[in-house]
Amino acid sequence: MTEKLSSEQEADSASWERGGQLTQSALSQLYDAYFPRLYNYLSYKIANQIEAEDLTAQVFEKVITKYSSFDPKRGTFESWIFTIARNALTNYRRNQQRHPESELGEWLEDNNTVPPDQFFLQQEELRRLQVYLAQLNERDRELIALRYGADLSQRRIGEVLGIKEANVAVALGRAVRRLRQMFERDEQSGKHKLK
Amino acid sequence: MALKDFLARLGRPKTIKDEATEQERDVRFAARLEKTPAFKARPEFQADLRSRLQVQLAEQNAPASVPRQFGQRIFFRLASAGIGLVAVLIFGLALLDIPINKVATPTSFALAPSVIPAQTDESLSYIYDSPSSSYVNLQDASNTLGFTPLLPAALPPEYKLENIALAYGENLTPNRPKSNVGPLTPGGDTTKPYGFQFQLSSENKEAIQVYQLAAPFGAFSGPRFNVSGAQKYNPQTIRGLPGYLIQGGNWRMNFVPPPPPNRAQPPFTPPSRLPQSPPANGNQPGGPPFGGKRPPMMPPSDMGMRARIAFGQMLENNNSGRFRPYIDFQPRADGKSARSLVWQKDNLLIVLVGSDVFPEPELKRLAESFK
Repeated sequence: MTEKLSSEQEADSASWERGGQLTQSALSQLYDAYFPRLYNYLSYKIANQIEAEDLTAQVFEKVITKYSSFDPKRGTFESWIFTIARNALTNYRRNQQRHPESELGEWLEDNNTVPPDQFFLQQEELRRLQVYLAQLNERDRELIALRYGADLSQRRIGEVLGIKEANVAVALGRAVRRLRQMFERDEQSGKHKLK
Repeated sequence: MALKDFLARLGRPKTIKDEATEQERDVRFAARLEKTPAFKARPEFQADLRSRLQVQLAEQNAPASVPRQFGQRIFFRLASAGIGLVAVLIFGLALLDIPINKVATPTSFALAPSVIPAQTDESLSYIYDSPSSSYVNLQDASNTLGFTPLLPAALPPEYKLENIALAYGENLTPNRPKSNVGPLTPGGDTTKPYGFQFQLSSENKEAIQVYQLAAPFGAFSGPRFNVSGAQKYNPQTIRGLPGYLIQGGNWRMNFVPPPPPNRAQPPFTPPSRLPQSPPANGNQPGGPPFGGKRPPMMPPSDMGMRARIAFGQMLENNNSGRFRPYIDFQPRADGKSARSLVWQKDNLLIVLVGSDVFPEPELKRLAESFK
């Protein structure tokens, strides 16, 4: 799972959480802190590396252009940036529906990077995760992506989705169970060994 | 009994004890999810995006940093001195052949008609032919370009060819010895880093921009190329030649080199965006323009379609010591998504750019009209 912000980073994070004008230094720190989490979150929602990267880029570009509109009094930066990511995803999917002919083919993997053997099992786990996430309903997938992909607390998830923290806990519990049952069904049928 | 069977069929826990077991398994599974490794983007993408964002932020903050007051002026001069110092250091390291950075961008082209800035020594590129010209002497153009432009032989009747222009690509590592620039310079000729462009327009359809330049590497051959940063892409065949249909606002085409050569390619200097001295020939920023005419400024409405192409190469991360060439392409100056059809004929790289909703078959039909 993505690493939590260290206490030092959290202290520095004030530089971008205050709003106003974004400096290069703040951008650099912000990028280091949020790139892995944003990319991971988007990968939970889109099983395509190139498109996840492209959306990650769009989110950061939006952060730069819209940063002056960020008001810390209205919510945390964390909620703000993941709301941007959700909106980018919505636009992306709307665009896909509007121009289905623009589906130009499946992602072609960079064949020059061979994953080391020690990452094989991790890669397999991620592949399965993406397969099962795609089978969840949109609500469950969103909750799982925000909790385990974006590494957001239940409170922050509530802020992003506009629901109460208690409701997040209940809905997230159900989503986790449904995902677990998918994993277990496969593992019990012998397709995969239990870890 | 019937209820129990019914619940069993639903897969629900039969008792409170079962529910507790389920919850326990949920907790264990949640812990497993917590430990699941994160999806990771490619390091080169992450580094590339960082630098792009820094440039974007610098451009966005630029108006506020215009030195008007004394303090700001001092800051500006100190910054300039700092940049100069960094340039000297980079040059020194380049002479020592120390690869201090993995990414290099030796040559860059802005191929669309662009307004010459007041300070020409900071311009990245310029156009020295009239962008409204609909006639070009191919022989003259070939002599200047170092390659023969490819024109549509059987253009669909509703289209007309206009806005022909030549572009000069700025070399971003001017102090590097030419021998080290190697094959990355278009056509391998450092004295002729030129591009060619024109527009295909019709009354009822949107215009298509066409960019041509000498490619720095061999022909397309399937998996030896891959594209990153695009929204979507897929391989195409244009008159029997391999190419790509690519959709996106800023993408990169990587060239996967053939099996390792006996000798590793010389490393590149790190990227530099410093202004450089213009080339020695007459075709230089501020110098006499092609045909003796200074290009007119393009109307603002046309500026959205200005493209930017940059060549570079990146050290492979597999300790092979080899460099992988790439092309960065931004089809529109405003960064909006566009649909591009890219292919290569002999040494010539051709790019057709339309909006991101331009019909794919139409784009391909136009491409097929080139001979």
